[in-house]
Amino acid sequence: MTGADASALAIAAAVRARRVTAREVTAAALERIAQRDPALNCFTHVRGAAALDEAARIDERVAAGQDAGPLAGVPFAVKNLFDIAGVTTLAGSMIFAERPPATRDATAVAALRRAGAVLIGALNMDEFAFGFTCENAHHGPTRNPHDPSRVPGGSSGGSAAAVAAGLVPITLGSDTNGSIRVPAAFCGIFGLKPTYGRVSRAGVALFAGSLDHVGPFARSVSDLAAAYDAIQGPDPTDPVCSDAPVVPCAPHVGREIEGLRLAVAVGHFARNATAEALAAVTPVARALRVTRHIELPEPHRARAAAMVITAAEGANLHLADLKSRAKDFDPTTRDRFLAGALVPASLYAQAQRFRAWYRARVAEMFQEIDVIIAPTTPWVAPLIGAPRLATVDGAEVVARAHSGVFTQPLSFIGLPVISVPVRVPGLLPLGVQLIAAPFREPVLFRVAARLEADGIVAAPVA
Amino acid sequence: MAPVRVTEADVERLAAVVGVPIHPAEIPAVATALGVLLNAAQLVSEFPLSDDVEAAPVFRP
Repeated sequence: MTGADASALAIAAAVRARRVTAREVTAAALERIAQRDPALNCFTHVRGAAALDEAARIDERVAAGQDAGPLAGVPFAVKNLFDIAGVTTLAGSMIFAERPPATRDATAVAALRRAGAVLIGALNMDEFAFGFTCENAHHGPTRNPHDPSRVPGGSSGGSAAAVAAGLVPITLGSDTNGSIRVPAAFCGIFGLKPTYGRVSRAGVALFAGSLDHVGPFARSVSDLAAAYDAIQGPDPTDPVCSDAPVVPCAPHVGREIEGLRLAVAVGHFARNATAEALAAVTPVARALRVTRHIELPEPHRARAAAMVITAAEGANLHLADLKSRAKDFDPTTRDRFLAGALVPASLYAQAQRFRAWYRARVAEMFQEIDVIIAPTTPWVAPLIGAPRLATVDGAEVVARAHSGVFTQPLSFIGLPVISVPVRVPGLLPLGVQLIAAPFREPVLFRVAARLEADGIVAAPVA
Repeated sequence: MAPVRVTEADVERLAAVVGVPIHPAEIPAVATALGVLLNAAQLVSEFPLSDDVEAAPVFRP
């Protein structure tokens, strides 16, 4: 139960049964981090003694016969844009490093701790979440555990790499345009971007509030469901958090999928990518016996509108610092934030209106379909320091931005998506998105669990 | 529609209007980034929307 491959649920069961202590599990996680993280650079802060003390308190509860929670003694870590009481929230920047420590945990962090999980530390990311590579100029690049010469994806790159390497079984990240799903795919693990507003963002540094989501990473569907169930639900301190009743997803893991209407996305989602990335969909569709195809309306415009909203809202959030100390931004985000500050208001408003139109059209499609299947990324993890431009499917694209070509049209309207890991022998990991209508996460867990049970998707420690 | 072209002079003028000082060395990169954004915005704007399509920001008075 102290090994890198131990699942969160197995750890929790063992801790509750006193077959292992939370302190032993935490100490083992800290040792793995000490061994591997100098090369991977997932963590920007490790709690060390504080985490061991926290674990000891879990053990005390178990010894006293108290309920230590469904995630008792499970080590977890969070992208460094989540507030951790007593730790400065960096959001990948050096500007925020000057701020005082957070006075309380983000709602999602507090929820995992209430469930008995032990917070190990904070994880690297693209500055202010504006990127898909986790090549952070201030804190160094995080490296992909499957190939350290490659990026882990971003912006939640540290979160994905830490789980892929088995440093911790569960992490949290955020996703505005693909920042959970892209790194989950590149690192070969499971990542859930829940419905917009289903998980509180209170205590999370925003990037583009219209599109920001919080969600978990894990190496199994059951662990992903356990983490999600711990953090989902209403929160009056997040103005966009939904009051909709909570539907636990763990009970849906293992349920039958017969009767679900499944379709593979074509058009935009069947081009703009390498052949190998598109081919990742094939084993998933075959295993699920999907014969139906579906074409989303105007997904390329949805992606374009997401880019405009993201840049404009992100620039507005950081406008004071852009005016007074632009030199302190990461060079990879500075030019894009500055450009966002120059976007005319009418173009931003039009993008928001298009979002409403697109939401209505896609909602009509979900009257006929339960789950849509699409590739997560257009390619495997790029090399660290890759050139700015790349050619794919006969077109020249901005390489870093293009990693989100399949994720942006979905987060744009807040749809819940699980990226499941697909391995093809001889290739780096790829991901496939399972996409549902808002608040239908349970069907995604049913489908993901079936794929996992059939051996189509898996996330062994890298 | 023809692609939007953003010159360095465009960036300098816009930045002055908005009040965002941009270091001269950054102007070319910002022009490139703004060109990407404005071409994305054009892709959105050229799609016709009826007047009854209203944005959906969350604001509960």
